[in-house]
Amino acid sequence: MAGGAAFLASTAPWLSSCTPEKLAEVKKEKARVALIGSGSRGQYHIHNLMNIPHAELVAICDNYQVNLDAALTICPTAKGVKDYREVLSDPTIDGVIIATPLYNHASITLDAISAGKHVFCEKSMARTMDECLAVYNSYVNHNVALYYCMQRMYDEKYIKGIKQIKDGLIGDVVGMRCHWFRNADWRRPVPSPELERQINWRLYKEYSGGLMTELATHQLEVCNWAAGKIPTQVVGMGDIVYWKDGREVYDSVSLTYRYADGRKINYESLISNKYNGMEDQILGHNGTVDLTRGVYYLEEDNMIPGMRQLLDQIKTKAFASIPTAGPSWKPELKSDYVPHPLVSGGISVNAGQSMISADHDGSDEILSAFCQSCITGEKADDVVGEAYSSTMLCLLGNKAMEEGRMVEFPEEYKIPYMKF
Amino acid sequence: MKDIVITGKMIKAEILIALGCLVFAECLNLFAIIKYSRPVVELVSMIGYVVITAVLAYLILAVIRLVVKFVLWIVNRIKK
Repeated sequence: MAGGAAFLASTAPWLSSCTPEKLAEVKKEKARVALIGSGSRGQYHIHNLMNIPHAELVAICDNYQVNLDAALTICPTAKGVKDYREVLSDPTIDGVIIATPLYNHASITLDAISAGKHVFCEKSMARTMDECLAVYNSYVNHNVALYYCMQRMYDEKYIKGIKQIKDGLIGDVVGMRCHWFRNADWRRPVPSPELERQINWRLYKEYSGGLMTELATHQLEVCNWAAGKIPTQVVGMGDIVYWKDGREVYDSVSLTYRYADGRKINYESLISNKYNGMEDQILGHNGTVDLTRGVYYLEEDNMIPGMRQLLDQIKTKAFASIPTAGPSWKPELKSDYVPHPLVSGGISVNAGQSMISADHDGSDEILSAFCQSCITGEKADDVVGEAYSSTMLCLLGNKAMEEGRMVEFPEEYKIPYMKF
Repeated sequence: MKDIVITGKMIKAEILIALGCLVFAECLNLFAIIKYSRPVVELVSMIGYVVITAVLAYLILAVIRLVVKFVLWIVNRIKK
């Protein structure tokens, strides 16, 4: 995926545990892994696992029989299990993949780490800040690999984009702007009413942090990756604007995270309008990188051919809009910036309407890296630190919205990994 | 029906005007390369833009020439 130790150290240190050279060393071995949680995302991981040569899915665990049966249909060679402790007590299993609802992440992860299993867990890290800290401390004190499915960290366009940002492509990073818009109620069909909370767990605060822990966590991680820092303050507002169907989590959030140096992340998510889609924009004083699309735009674009620049200038002057409020005022409409690709060749771009079956968004690469760690025992640098930081920011965002006030990053939850 | 005779002189004139437009467009390209500090290779690589600009210039010129001819024809008729 990447070459050069300096590149890995400066941009994506976590890739150093899964270099092609290291992969070649383990190509005759297989990681024996079990899946805990076989819902839509779990089944997506099964498909990816079946394409990873150094992985063998030996067990699938779920307490919901419908999902378990569906998962076993995809991978009939795996053993079906109802209690995850059965998986953890099996000494032949190297690692577990946790794709359960958020509120189960911490307890299962802690049990798995204690059982000496390598762990790959879906984002976010945990439902509460205390759970996040407990998982982090447990990870630090045990010699097992722990991955969180922050797939952007393994997505080529993100890695190369961040590298170019750090190399000065857009000058000084002055801010970030991320949003994730969908137009869907986020509900899953429920076969009987008593299963509502089990199946639609994303909609209830007891089980989920809503848009923040399900969507924003990815994007906040990218912002911190680009900034090389963690925000110290957050303000925000959240509401149930449209989907007033008994849910408890917001369907509309708008937050501002502030770094100590004054830079800000403007974050917005709405699930009743998808016009703006999903974007992760890093704003520099010389340009803007849109990591989602894998492109960048320059403020003064000298890369555009001269003839085109000249014709654009003539066109702009010839067809300039007539000032509507006198000659001193003209609407400052968005300019037509020319996109330049961050990565040569074709890349996979996801509009963000569903990440369950997103192709080549880094999910397969991070899962492959985890399986490699199951064989080698090597931990991936910074993955846990990044997951901890972004999850904490999501939970702090929720706190700020619920309490209607500015929230500072609490001292007791700061870890050595974080730079403010 | 009246036959329209296109003389060799007329064809030669049109070819010269078209060539002039092409030279004008390439001069614009050269000007843009200097103005925006672009590599000289754009003299060749931007040939598509140059040709389109030349065609546009030729068409604009054609319209102007038609208008001038029409005005001259009106003036001559009034004089007669």
